Amino acid sequence: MGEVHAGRLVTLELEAPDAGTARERTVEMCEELIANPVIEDYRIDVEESPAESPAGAS
Amino acid sequence: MKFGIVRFPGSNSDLDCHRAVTEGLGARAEYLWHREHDLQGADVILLPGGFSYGDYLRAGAIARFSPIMREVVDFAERGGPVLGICNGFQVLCEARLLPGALARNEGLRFQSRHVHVRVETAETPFTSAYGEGEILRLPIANGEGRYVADETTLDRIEGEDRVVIRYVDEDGGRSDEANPNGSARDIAGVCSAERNVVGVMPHPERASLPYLGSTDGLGFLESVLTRTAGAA
Repeated sequence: MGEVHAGRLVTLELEAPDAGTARERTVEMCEELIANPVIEDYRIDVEESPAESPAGAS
Repeated sequence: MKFGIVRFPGSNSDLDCHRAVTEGLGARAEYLWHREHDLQGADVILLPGGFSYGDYLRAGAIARFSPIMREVVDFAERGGPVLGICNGFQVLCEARLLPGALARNEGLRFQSRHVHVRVETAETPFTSAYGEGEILRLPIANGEGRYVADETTLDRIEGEDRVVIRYVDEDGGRSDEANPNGSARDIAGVCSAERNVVGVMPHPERASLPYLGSTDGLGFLESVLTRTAGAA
């Protein structure tokens, strides 16, 4: 057996004009609250959520 | 001379702090609810131990966003004396008023017992009543009590004489056995660069009345009383 890693998975849903902005805002949230950079590392994966209805169509 | 004791949901040594101040020291103490924005004229702020917000996410992580913390940070930045005990220490690190962080104990066990610590500096508002090198017997009660910081930070706080207390054995010697949680360089408490903000993992307030079996911790409160009285 190799290394074992335990961590925490946080799934956030947010509206943003593009993936870059979504990432930027998530970095901010990680630095401020979600992670403590002194003791924790974090990695962000951005995925576009499917089936987003266009504005005004609902 | 008035002590303000901040109460977060989940604080549990708030009463212990109150008794230590009122019975042990004979000074006034006021509880400060975390949702308030008013320190009620307190001359000293105590952040008690406990499990604020159930320690969700990380110990102290959510408490630092409590409304009252904005006032506590202002108070600290104006030089006001602030002591964080256990969970209060964790909150102060999360609020970045103190360097480093408190991580899960080495061995992963919650530690609830008495330990010995050595006073490393009397140059803080909370340790001036002690002699440097004095050994105190204080209780600890924590699961996330392992002090960590990067090597540069550790070197800096040591160089600036900002390690307030260290875990030692009863004779004052440092060893792995005397360190209950794997804290870096046996650090049990640190202070801010301006020295007015102090965080300690052990509970001095639970060793401040004769019926608690030790009064070794009362000096933390006596220190600030003498200091503030002298300055006024």
